[in-house]
Amino acid sequence: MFLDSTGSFVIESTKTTPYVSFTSSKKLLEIKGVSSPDNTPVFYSPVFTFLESIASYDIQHLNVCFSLLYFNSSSAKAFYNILKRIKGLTGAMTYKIDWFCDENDEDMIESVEDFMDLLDLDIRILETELNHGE
Amino acid sequence: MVSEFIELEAPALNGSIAEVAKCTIVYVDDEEHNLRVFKSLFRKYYDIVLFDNPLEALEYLRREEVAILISDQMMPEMKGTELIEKISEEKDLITIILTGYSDIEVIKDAINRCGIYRFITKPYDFEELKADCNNALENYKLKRDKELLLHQIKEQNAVLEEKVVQRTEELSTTNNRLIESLKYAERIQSAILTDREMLKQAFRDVFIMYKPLEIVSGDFYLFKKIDSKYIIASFDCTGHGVPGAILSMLGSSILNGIVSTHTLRPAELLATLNNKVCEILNSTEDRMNDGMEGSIILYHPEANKLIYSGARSELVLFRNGEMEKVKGERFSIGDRYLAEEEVIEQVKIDTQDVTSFYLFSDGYKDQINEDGTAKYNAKRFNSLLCEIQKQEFDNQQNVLEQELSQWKGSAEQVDDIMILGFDLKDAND
Repeated sequence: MFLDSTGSFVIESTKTTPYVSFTSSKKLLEIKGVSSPDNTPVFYSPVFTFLESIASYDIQHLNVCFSLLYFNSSSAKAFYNILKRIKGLTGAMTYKIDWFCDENDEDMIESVEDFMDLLDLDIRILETELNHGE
Repeated sequence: MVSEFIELEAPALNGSIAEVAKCTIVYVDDEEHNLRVFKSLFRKYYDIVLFDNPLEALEYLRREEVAILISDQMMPEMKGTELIEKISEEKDLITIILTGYSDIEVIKDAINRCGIYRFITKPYDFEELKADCNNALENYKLKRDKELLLHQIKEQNAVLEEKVVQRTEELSTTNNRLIESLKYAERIQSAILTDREMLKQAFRDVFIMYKPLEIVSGDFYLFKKIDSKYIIASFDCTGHGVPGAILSMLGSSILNGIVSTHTLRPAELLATLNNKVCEILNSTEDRMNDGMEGSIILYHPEANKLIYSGARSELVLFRNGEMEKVKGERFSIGDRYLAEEEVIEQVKIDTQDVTSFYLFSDGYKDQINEDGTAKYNAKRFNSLLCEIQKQEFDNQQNVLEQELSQWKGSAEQVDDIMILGFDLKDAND
């Protein structure tokens, strides 16, 4: 299994897929970069595996951070499902979701607002000058 | 000369063992006695070939594989160093000069010019000469091993290179077959994309900018004329390439089916499309990975009326030079099954003063620039649409294409691109 005993894992970014990681010391789940995988459900399956097994790790609080320059429509479906899974986390678990958006990227901001509406979920939108350069 | 040579018994040698396997040593000396003694001392350890004439030795050396050449220096036909110099030009072997003559200049010259391994003065000590020969053979073998290894590496490289060529050929064959198959699929997909000619009656002009990311596209459009009304649909399916194209076939055949048998109300068409997609793709509440987002328009030119309904999509139109945006529902097709009582919004638009409208997938707005730092984004796209309103309609697509290629530079296209533009000017003149 790709997860270590604390649940931490890292998937390095590629030209078409984002950097995805969970860092247990920071309780941080991160999705960062460009998301246009050739096989989106398979690409994001580790995140679902992680969320499904989250109860078995000593995690009381989860910070989630999205920072994407671009994501395609199948990634949007995957994010919807990931957010839905996070919202469904039960027990004493708390979570906080941040989404970094380029201030000029109306579509991105709108997409995040859609996720909030559709899932009745709190997401903090942080408008920034994103720099996805090398 | 050599073969008839009489061999003497070698003296007992304190049980010393030949450390190096037998290798040929050529010994040249014009004094027969010396040859005889040498052979008797060393025949037990090495293959020895003797010559009393350096010219004959040279001939033999040129012909045969010899590890060590030991030569006397002073010989009437040719000096030992000369013999070595001559053979060294042609063959790689270890050379030893054995002589009573000990002029330091000659020694220096011989070592420097011919790469002589040892210069030994007579009379030689048997053990010393044997140790020298063994070392020389060791050297010779190391050199040979090195050459052999180099040769093997070269051979293996050649094999690897051949394999690379073969694999590249295989890959290119596979790639060609994939591309051919995609091109075939493209032909099939293009059949579902309605000819815009049928819209000519309703619009002054229509442009279709359709740029698949991988030959086939996840984007599709559909035009249908029912009596005096037109259904215009444009959808962007999840994924691109083959998975996107398969979904596009599904979406367009569902739409084709329901447009002819069901109502023409866009909201209802959208809901039916959604539920059929959910049914077919078996979407459960838990995991919905596949689907599509897009717009359906019912356009009634005679009544100057347009009804819009969309899922995660929008309609952009221009009225009196001003841009208006009509947003669709926030869910996307395939998200979840919609109950019958759930109302999907549709917007009625009076097209009296509308000069143009546009439907599009995300591909254009999502295109990333050459250095990978920025998306084209909705802001730029909207202002570009405003700008081209001044342009003749048939030039709008060119401007959009040029702007895209400038923005993209050498970067790769990120998604399927589709923009449909409809010119209403004449209709309202």
